[in-house]
Amino acid sequence: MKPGIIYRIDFQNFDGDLVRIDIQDTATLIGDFDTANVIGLRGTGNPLSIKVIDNEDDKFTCIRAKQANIEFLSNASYNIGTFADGPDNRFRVEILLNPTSLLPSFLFIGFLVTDDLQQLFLPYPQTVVLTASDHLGLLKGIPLTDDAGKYMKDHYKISYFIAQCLNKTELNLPINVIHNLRVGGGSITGNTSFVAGGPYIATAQTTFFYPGQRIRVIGSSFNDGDYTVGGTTLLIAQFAYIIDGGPLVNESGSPDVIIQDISSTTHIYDTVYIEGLTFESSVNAAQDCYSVLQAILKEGQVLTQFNGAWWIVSVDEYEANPTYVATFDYLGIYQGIVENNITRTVGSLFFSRWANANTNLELERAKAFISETFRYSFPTELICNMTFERGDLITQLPDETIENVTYQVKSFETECWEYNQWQRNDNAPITANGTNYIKKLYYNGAERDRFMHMNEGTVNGQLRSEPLAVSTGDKIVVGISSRWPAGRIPGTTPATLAVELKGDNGKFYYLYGTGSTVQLSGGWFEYPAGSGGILDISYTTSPSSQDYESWQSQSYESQPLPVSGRLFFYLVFDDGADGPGGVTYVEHSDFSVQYLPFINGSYREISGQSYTVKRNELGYLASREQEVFISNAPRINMKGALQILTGGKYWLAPYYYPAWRFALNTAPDQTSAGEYGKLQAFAVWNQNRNTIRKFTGDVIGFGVNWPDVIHKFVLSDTNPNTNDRFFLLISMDQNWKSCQMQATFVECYRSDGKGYTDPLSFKYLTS
Amino acid sequence: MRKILGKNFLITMMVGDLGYPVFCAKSGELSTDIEEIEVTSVNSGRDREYEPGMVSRTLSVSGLTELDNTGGRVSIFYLLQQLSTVQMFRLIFTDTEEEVQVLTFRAFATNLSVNKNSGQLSQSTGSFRISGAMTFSSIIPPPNEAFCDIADPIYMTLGVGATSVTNALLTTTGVEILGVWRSGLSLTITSGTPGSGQFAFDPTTGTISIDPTNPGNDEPIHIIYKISG
Repeated sequence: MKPGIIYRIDFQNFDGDLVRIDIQDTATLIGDFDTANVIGLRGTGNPLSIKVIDNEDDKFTCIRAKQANIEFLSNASYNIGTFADGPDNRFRVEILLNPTSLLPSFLFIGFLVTDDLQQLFLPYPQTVVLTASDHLGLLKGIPLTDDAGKYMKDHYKISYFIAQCLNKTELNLPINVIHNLRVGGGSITGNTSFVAGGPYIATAQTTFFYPGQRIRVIGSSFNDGDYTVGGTTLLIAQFAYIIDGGPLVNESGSPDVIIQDISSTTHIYDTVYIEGLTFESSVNAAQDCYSVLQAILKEGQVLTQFNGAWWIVSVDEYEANPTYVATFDYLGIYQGIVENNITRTVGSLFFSRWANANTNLELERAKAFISETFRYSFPTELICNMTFERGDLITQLPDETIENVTYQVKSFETECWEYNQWQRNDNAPITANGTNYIKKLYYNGAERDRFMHMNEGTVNGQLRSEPLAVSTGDKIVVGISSRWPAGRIPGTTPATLAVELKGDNGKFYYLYGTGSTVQLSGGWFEYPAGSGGILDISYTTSPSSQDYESWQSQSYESQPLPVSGRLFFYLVFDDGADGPGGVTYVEHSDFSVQYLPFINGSYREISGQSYTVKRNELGYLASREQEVFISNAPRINMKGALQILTGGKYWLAPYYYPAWRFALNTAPDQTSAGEYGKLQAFAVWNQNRNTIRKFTGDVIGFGVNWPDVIHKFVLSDTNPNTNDRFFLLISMDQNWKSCQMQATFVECYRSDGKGYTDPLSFKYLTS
Repeated sequence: MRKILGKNFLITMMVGDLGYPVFCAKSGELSTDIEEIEVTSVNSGRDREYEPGMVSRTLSVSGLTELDNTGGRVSIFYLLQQLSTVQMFRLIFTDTEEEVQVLTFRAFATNLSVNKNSGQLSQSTGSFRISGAMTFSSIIPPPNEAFCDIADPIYMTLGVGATSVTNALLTTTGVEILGVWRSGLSLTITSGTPGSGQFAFDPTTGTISIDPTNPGNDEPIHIIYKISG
């Protein structure tokens, strides 16, 4: 289906090109092969201007939204009232250059904004002013959701987040990206040893391997193939411990072995994942899409619309090297990468040149230092539905009177908690038949209490949580409150909670939370390999004379975790073996988990990290300090932690390299690789280490290769302030009739302007 | 040279398929303004640079006032009834050799006035804004290579006892002598034997002859001439 009515303005501009403005009424749809009713409108002498509405001077302003102002002459049939009614996406605007040519170009695609329509309230004809927006600004009011409109709380590729945000504009445009960081180190060639007993691969290159890396070995005598790195050790060489692939065959010192990082072969947006909870605003609610885009693009990339596509361009890549454009479809699916010349020239000898003798040169002073801060934070819910807030309604239950107050009672599904009789060592669970639900009490329609209710069955089990990723040395503080029915005293020491660690080393541990003379509180104890049976219990209540109708609370801080892995928490039904007909249910409340990562030798001390690049020379007083929201992080469950997916598991993605400095698909210089935060810091530093030239003035001459925000500009009029430099267009207001624009160009590169030897410092931030 | 005479400049307005002169016109003017766009750059030195921009045109006509159109001319009162209507106009230029150039364009009135002075007939004046492009009935070709250029002057020496000087350049077809000076004194052309203060010119040989009774004495001869087509 397609719009059946199109309001059209055609005009020829000063450059001799035909411009067509189509305003499509989507309220009237026809078949794809039917002919739309085209209604001609008369443009005024100023029929079209297109401008960027985010005009901040900062080169790193993430989003440069555009707006088109359209003017036509009204008459009795077509005037402001023609476009006054309907939803925000009713009138789709498509503006084409040379629409009848073989390759027409899109100057703008968007929707009319009703708020900005205006016309003099006088007899016809009057000038009707229409404003169309690319709807990027409207994303401020739309929360992030997936294709089905659901809250995104799992891992997704960066391209998917971007696509989900941009598709909320309802323009469904493809996405072109000039951002050629690659995960990993590309490839290395050199002397390599293979140790079957490790199994290890060892190489003199000390910064190439990382946990979760997928590598390909080529050119060895016995060990060519693909492998997964489980961990690394640095001695006189870097050792990569192999957990997948092989087995390795002993091979010592083979020269010229090529090791490729398979993650480096694909685009960063198609390789790197972020957990959706990064963008939560509160439990089960997401930030708006505009904020999500800013969080992803901040301090590096700029988003705008150009020629029928969204473009994301990296400021640091606008230099003398070739430009590579990765293309994604509107769903965020990677399509490929090509070299593309995006250079445009403004100068007296070129089609686009300065006009009206009003070009102004300003300077922005060099900085003493720049600093990028990434704060460590965790999702509000470390464990999904740990507060028992969510679940579909099951049924209304009979009212309950507690202390002379009558409550309405409802039951809800135990969302995120899976019920079985779980076994040790990941043995197959036994089907349990107790019934469980989240029970909520209401008074006058307001919720007053909620807890997990577990009924006795003939085969009782546990409610298992979703996993929490943890690392060696971390600690947890786990709390829970439990109670039993009135008049029903459970047997001795009824259990309430089990905590299990599934180690990345393939072993299983449980947390012992109650003190005894035999085992330490909070200790981790390994299940004997291959042992079966029900899970061991972490928490039990004291056998002393407790009022079991009241909530019995427990909370313990664990010992440091012995290995990295995933923690599972189990809510237990236990009647203390009081026999049938005794305790018939147990209730759990106030379940809490506090995660204490072990960072830089401490718990509870480190609140974030910063990368700072600072010059050695004195006398510079300006600085730039910004907070970023995605980065390399020390823990995989931190908000904004960049991750890769290997072997069905998510790993931190620690290393990247600037692929655009090397010919496509060639091995990079390993000294250029580093953490994401380090590369980002130098990218920002190189835009601030020198005095920046900024030119503002009128430019005339558009043509079919018109100047736009995505382009890399040469200002060709020979002058010390323009020679050997590239510029970004950060602001423009284009009149498409006179082919003149007000433009602001900011220097982004000069031939001696990139430096990577200025001191970089990494620092942990304390609370 | 062709001349355009005032009576051969006719402004007509199309009514239906026919064109009618506007007013009993005594004067008319077609004016074209081209916007100037300054493109002075940092390397322009002391000289500003410009490019042509948008074009705007106006037409003005004035003549005797007529009440209606029955005389075969457009009356100002008819124009007053056609306000806010864009009309088709033609300017017809006819030269002395009856060659015609017609300019066609659309225009609308921006000012219409009628005035009357004591002792004079009423006058009508109309100003029109031309909208859009102007079309020409025929394309005007660019000019040929110049026929009327004044050539570089010739400096020669009238030798002792010589009564003429000769130069091959003066044999070119279409040569016309504009002036001859002998020792700084201007000579006058004559067709017969030159006398005192005179010279004769033979285009077939390219010879300038002076008074034979006053032969040369190593004197400078300065000749200015042109070549006409």
